[in-house]
Amino acid sequence: MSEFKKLAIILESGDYEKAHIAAMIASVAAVSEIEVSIFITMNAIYNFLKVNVKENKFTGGKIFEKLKEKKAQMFYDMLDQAKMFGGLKIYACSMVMDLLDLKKEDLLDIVDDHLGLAAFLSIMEGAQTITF
Amino acid sequence: MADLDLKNIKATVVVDARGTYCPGPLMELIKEMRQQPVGSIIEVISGDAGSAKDVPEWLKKVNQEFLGVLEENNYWRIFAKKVKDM
Repeated sequence: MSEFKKLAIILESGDYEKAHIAAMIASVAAVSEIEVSIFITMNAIYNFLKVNVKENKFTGGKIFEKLKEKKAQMFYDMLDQAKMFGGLKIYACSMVMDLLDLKKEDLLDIVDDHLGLAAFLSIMEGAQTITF
Repeated sequence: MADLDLKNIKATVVVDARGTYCPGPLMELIKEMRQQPVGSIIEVISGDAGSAKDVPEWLKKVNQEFLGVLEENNYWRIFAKKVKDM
């Protein structure tokens, strides 16, 4: 198995399940001595808005319904915990924030900053990248 | 470690992670490992079959000691020892 030390996750989809698997992979990687960066862009931004999280307003399919029914830990709590235990940074896409007139305060506190693509591309350099 | 020895182990702390889903049991173990001193034995009770395979893999990766796993009726008892600071 080849060893990688950096993982970049691009989260684009607004589907709850994709946010959930991204959070699962990010958590386990972050506690396994891998430096993880998540870039939230396009429809995925809606899952990181305080207002939607507060109202539990997510879009998902069958597995989302099961996760709710079985009271599984939500993706944002998973990410919060991973940030305490390991190296995990979460960035929101500046373009989408501009498009929706969002401010940093509109996003969950687990979001570290907002970045443009040039900045995220430099973070991705030498990293294994996964897109959801 | 043989099953018999595992059954006699007195864990420093036991974490019941039943009811959490992957990677819940692993994260519960990490939470305890960070708090307990070096030399502590942590037992994680997991209702999730994947964790019985996942936890040893993680322990190997971060150079902590895996003592073994006992399969009970519908749950697993996973034993780990903190051998270095984290």
